[in-house]
Amino acid sequence: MKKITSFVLLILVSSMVLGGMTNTAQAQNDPTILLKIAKQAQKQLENQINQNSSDKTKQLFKEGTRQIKALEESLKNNDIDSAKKYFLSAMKIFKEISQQLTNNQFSQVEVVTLKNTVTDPSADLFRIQEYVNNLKIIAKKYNTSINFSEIDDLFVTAKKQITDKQFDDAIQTISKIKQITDDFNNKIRGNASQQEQSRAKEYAQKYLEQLDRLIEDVKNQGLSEDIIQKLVDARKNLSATTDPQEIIKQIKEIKSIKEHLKERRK
Amino acid sequence: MNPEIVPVYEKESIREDGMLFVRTDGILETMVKAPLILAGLIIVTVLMPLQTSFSSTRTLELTIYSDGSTHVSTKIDVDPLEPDFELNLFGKSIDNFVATGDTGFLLSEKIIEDKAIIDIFGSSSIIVDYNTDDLVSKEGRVWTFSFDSPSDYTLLMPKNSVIVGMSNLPNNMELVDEQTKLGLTAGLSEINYIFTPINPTIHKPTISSESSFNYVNAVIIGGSIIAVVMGIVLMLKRKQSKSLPSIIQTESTEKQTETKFNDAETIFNFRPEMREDDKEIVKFISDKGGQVLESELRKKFLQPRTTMWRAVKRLERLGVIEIDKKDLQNLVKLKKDLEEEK
Repeated sequence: MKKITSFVLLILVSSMVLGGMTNTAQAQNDPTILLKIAKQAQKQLENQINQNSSDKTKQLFKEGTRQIKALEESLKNNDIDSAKKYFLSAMKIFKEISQQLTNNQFSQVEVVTLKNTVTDPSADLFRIQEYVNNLKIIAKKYNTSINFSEIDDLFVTAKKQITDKQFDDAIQTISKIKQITDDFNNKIRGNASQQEQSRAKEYAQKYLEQLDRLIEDVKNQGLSEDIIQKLVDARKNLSATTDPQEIIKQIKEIKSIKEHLKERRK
Repeated sequence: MNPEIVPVYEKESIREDGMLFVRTDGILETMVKAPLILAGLIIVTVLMPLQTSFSSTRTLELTIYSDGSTHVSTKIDVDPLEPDFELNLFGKSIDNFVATGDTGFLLSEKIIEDKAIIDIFGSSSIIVDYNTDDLVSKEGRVWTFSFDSPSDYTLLMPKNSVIVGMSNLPNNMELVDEQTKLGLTAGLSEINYIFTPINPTIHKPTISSESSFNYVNAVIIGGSIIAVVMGIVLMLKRKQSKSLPSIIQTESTEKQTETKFNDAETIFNFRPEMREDDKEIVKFISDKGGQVLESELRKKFLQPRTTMWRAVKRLERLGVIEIDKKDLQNLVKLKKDLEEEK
């Protein structure tokens, strides 16, 4: 039995030690990531640099490529510190090249890309969908009778319109989705406020119990009457209110009295 | 004061003003008990993850959309004794704000510039989701994400974006639905990226940093688990050796009952709607004599544990297999009597 206990102890200790090591390892960088990111950037910029690019840009690109080679070499030699240094240096150069390319070569293709960025409402659709998904979960929690099928259909329509490049139509559909979402949001918040009121009352009740104990303590310690009176008044106000915002206000007042009390005790 | 030298194991109680002395040769027996250490270590082991995870921001996930707006999703531990909580937002232009408490109920909030005052009323953790336009700027065609994070976080880059500048080192990178997801540490980070009509996933097959990293973790954790399992098996074997004859008898009875099972064709006829990949599993089990360990299925079909477990449970729901335990492993057996779906 002793052997088994010792064995289990050994396992627990070793797993704790190894667990600690794992956490440390997680905080460190996986150096191969650096090379992948840098190479992606290099490849992308290489595609964009052409004969019209300035000599300075080309020179910078060569320097960036040298840094990547040095990064690769450092990784082979397991010299992580140097690898990190070369990565940051390469990425700094690539950022500079990107900015230069932007300033010097505003090509036709890029104008089209930017135009697409402005008119394509995909991002807007994703955003609102994420929001609606959140509302759906909350609506379910409150057992509301909100029917999301119409809005789901509109999402399908908007996606199709975006796929078909009918961006103006998609924008209109998204606008409809937003209107419906606002209605749903108001309904859900209406339900939520009723629940919040009961949660606030429950919370205030717990606080009142603590306050009763505090008042008792203060009386026993023979502290000044004005403090006791303040606490009693605050208790009265808190127990009288049901509005969540008023509850917060009253609790904050009680907290300030408690702080004052602490100061006095010092 | 009246100091006395009292061997603790010779006297049950000491005087209040006495000084406690313990004989060093008796200390191991008196104070250090192996079960106590064991219990202590178990408690420490259980509490360790809680301690490390108990911080203000538990998780922080950012997603950049293609138009530069950023979705923030964060889980925060808050003081349940406070009625409200003031949250610093990552920007002033806030949209689609939703805060929920630990029971999933919607919490009301008041947003003032880059702060949100959330009424928590006893929640010990809150989940907050919102969008902000203040983390990404654009110059020409270079987009810049700039963020001073209070904690470690993950950042999902937009589709078709390529990172061309980085001021900090990432601690992780993976591909999620053709989007790059970075793991970044707390502090100020600046990431520059551009969009490209060409899919940037040219290095897709090589981006497996997380999997290689997890492999090391898996080996360490797996090693510990195997060691524990071995320990338990050793203990069980000791016990079993005392009652061996009865077990042999039980095993022989099991073998007798395991001989009959439905062949694959009968099962396919019974369940024509069965998925093709599930049929392969059934066929394999049938070829193996009607029963296999779940680990054998994983090896055969090169599936992760969860995927195979789902498949096995699916087949169990279809009523064509049953799952038993054998030496702490799942034994998957074809059923003798086919039954209707559960």
